[in-house]
Amino acid sequence: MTEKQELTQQDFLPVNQAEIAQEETYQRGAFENLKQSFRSNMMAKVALGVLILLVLSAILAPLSPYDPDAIDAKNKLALPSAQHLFGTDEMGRDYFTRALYGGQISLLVGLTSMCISTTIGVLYGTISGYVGGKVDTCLMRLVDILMSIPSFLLIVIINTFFTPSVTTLILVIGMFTWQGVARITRAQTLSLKKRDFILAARALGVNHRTIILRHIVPNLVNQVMVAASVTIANAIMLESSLSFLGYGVSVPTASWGSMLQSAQKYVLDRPMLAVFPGVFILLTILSLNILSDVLREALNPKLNK
Amino acid sequence: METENHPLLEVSHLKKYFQTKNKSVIKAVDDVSFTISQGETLGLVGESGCGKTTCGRTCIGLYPKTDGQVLYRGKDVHAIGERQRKAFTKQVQVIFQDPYSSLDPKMRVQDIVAEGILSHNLAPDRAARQEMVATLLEQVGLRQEHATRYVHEFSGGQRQRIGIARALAVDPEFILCDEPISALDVSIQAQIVNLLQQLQEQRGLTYLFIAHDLAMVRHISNRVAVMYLGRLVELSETEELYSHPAHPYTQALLAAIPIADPLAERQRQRQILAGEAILQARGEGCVFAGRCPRATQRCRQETPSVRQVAPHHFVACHLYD
Amino acid sequence: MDTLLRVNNLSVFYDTYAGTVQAVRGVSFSVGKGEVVAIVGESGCGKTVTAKTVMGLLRCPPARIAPESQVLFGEKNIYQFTQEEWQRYRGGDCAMIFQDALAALNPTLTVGRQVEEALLLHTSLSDEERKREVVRLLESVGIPQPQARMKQYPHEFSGGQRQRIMIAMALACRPKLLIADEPTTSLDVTVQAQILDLIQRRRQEGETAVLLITHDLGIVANIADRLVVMYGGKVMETGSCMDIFYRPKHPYTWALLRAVPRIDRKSQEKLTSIPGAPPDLIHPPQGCAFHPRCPYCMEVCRHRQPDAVQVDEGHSYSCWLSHPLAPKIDPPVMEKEAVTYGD
Repeated sequence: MTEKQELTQQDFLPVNQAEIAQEETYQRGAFENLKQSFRSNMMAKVALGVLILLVLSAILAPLSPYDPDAIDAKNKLALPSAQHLFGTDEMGRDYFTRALYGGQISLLVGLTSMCISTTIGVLYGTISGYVGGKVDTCLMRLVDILMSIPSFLLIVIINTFFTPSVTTLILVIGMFTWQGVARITRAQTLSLKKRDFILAARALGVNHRTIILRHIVPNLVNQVMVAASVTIANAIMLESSLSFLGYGVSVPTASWGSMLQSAQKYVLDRPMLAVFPGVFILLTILSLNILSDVLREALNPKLNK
Repeated sequence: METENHPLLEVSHLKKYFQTKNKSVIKAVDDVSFTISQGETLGLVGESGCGKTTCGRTCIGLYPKTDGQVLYRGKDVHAIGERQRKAFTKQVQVIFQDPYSSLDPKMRVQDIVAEGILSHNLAPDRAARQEMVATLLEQVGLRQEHATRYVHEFSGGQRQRIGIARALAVDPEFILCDEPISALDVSIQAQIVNLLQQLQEQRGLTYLFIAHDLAMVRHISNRVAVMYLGRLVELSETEELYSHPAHPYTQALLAAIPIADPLAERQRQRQILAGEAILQARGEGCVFAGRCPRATQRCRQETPSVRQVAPHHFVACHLYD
Repeated sequence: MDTLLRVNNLSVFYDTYAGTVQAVRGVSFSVGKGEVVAIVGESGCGKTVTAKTVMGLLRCPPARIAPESQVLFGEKNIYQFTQEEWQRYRGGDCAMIFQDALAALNPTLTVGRQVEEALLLHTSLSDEERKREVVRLLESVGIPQPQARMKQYPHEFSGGQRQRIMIAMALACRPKLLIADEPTTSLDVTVQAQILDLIQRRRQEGETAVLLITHDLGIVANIADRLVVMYGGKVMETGSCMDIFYRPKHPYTWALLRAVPRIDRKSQEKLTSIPGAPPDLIHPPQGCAFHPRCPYCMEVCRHRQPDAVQVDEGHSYSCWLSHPLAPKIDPPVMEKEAVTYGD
């Protein structure tokens, strides 16, 4: 009762609701969510940091005092030292510089072939899913066929017909890794197509092209981003494997894969030669996978609560 | 321009069948006929799965028909060409049930509302378009600053208002309201119904109002059609239908709805209908015969035709021969 | 009447990405033996969370129950139960019916097996007796040919029948308290009438008390003895069915009752709507939860939470309008007498 007695007549004046600025509560958008996920997730922060470091060091590789291809016969297979951070390889080339330049090739191959395969995959999957019916069946069977042939074998065979170069490598990897993206986009398009907002757009007389561009593709972004980050990782691995087998970039150009390949001869004497590029590949792929998980969480509104 | 003899929408013997995986035919809409005059609201009620949504969407050409005819201002909705179709979409609009799936989550409110304006080139430039959007938002009870937000920032009722603004953007004359309030809370339902009624007065809109809430339909409709398993069983003016329901199904449906008034509830004679409405392949006979307390042998063998029991009151039931 | 369940000062929080959701904030009510109590409110008012807490079904974390909260079943706080007591309580003394029967039933087990499970856990019947009991239960909830149908799987039943099976499962051990969370929301009105009739009859037969969670005032009018009106995680008003429908005191109850058009009345000009939207429970309004939407909002409502005030035996409400200094508000005209449904 004491509390009530403190109240005065003043407290019981009616309030005009319209005059009070209604406090609006904001729910955060996808970008805010992403920031929040990064803030609360230590792994994500580390992964992003590692990736940025790797990309930066690849870009800044020319700052290194050594020429990646300069042979120094006197200084073969040197152990890591202050002069040569990672030591030297069998031709006396500075291994640290080569790893940085190798990163250029590997990351370039990874990113550009991802762009190619994602573009093909999204186009293919969206058309297949949106048109539906027999077209969809035919297109998807084709994907099944392509997926049933081991793409690695196919790439090896095709690569033997071309002179191995970075460009052919990118094109070939891009052309043979889009099936997964196509499947994901097709499944998502099928479910989006049934949503009422597509029907609403049709009822407003919006044409099919605009519906695909304005409603379907933007809503695919979440899934595609996740799929794309996995594709980069795959492409880097593919490039490494191809170079490891000798179908990738030609000597003396360094890539992480080709460095691994030449390291195998000395794996018993100088295991460090295999470890350095291996660790770089591992770090890149691991960070990409962690980031794709974070992306998936942050971009999926259903997982928010 | 329009007279009683020239209804805005004329649906005659409309049929929409679906083929299931095991080759049986589901008659989602079977031989449905009704008309809607300009400025009126026709309520279409029925339980879930009775085909009312399919019927509504087929009527405005969103779904292809199986048979029958739908005339809008005398033109066959399903036979118009691409260009006329576009003109048709400017006259006829839809408000959807689910305020979540009917708005594109990746678009800002202003882009959602402006979609029709863009599609029909109703604004000469960006500034004019934004002004139109602002006016529309205000009309549906939203504020101008809402325009730049994404839909997930809004509550169910606000989302439904955005959906209404989107439909109004092309200045239509006919709106299919496809269960616009079913997904909303009680206190919000009244807001949306009041808004729809106010807009009807201001703009002279015609509504086909689909719902399963018979109390709301009574409130908003001039005439009411009752559907059961794809068929129209009764069609009448609202007060006539609610005070003198003729079809046994309508009677049972009205009796089944609880009233928020304990004393009235106690006095009601409640006849509880057994069984459930399940849409499946079926042969001849009245669709309601299986659950009807007054069904006869004839009801199971012969599909009842529509007959008039009172002025403007039509029933498909053998009891009224 | 003996009290079966008493909830005292229950508060439940959910920790989410966006912040802490204050789902239930200091709710108290009780259920007597054999009584039907309905918790009424709109989505997000905390009614389902309350039901789950009573049943001990909250997953903690993400949920947190405030330490001062008490849920007394009989004499004992259920959150001090031992493992054994829990076992007897859940499914034995207290059973629950869910809104979505298809999700609540296991699709890979026959319905007979699922009904049997409760009996297996809580009774010492022989195999033979158990089978007979299952048939009897299914028959009592209106499943035709129970002998044959108990061997079928949930997807072979219609929505209404699945709800009946859930009720059979819930009633298997003759619980003292049945919690029904929106038992008819996903059903058609004609089927809803069947299910309500079933719950009504079971309650007349036995001693089972029912805690009914719903948003539909119509359902409540027919079967509830007492109502608890919730809004924004708080109890706004509680009282007997007659009190709430004919002598409501809280502005939210007034608004709720008037927002629903009646099937047995000619339409009014305009429906009485409640402006605004339900509160965000991460940042619940200060003071009274309903004040941002209340037409009678006063200065004090915005800053201080009102205490519950008793009107009659068992009828209380939380509103500053009850204060002697508050302006006298004439409640809007409510139903005074029953009007028969015209046929």
